[in-house]
Amino acid sequence: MPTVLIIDDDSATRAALETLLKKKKFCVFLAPDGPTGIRLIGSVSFDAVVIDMFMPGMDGIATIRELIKIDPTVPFIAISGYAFTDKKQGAPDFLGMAIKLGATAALQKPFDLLDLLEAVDRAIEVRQRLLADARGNLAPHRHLSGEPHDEHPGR
Amino acid sequence: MTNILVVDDEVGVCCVIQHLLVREGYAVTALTDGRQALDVVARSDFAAALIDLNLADIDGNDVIRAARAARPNMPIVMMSGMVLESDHGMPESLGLSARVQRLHRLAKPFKPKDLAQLMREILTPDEAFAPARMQCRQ
Repeated sequence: MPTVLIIDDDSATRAALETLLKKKKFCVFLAPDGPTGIRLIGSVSFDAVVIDMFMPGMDGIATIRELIKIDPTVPFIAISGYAFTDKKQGAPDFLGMAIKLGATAALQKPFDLLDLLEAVDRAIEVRQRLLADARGNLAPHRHLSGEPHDEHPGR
Repeated sequence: MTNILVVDDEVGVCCVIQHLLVREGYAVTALTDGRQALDVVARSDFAAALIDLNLADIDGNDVIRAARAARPNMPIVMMSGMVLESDHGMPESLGLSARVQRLHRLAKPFKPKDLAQLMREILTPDEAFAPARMQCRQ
């Protein structure tokens, strides 16, 4: 059962996404803020992480940067309740920034729940492909050294 | 049902590990307080213990030593986010013999399936299959 972590300060969003993903047989964990999410990511390697861009304290971009430091193989999906794409006002495009940081998808709230499901499925596929590639690259070394199976290559 | 002790000072991490183990059919006692863990490992019986090295109040190694002293045959999983370099023994910082039996490592962040596999491996066959039998009865 794939594990998904949702980091969002809005309890209603967390509850809605949890209900949706659990119905689809995902194992869902919740974090109400960036630091809590980062602590969980530091302990468990999730199959996908959904990150809200606008949170008090540590925002989504800062959370993504920490996530990448801890576990660069974890795919993440950025969600945002605001559209800051008007460059005339000088407001940054946070979803665009998230994509540049490696988000597998960026969804503007309110988004279609089916779009989120599709994004999570795609993120998990990306992770499985990355891990399979990494295993393939490490296979000769493991064979020669007799090392056990390594699920966390490059760490 | 096989009872597993989990000691981690992060409440969220405790909850996640507890959820993952319960999903595998184990019963879990989760503690975030290292000093309380010292008391619990001395008084209660567990099939295995997962203990984080970096506890907030005391050194996780102290809990590991207390668990080993109280339960010489209980498998102990030491969890840590730090790099556990040696393949054959514990890091020097642990001050524990590399030959201590039934002491296992789980580097964070770990994959849920690795946790499940480790638990199956470290528990004796009878203990490991107990959760499945319990599930069948329900």
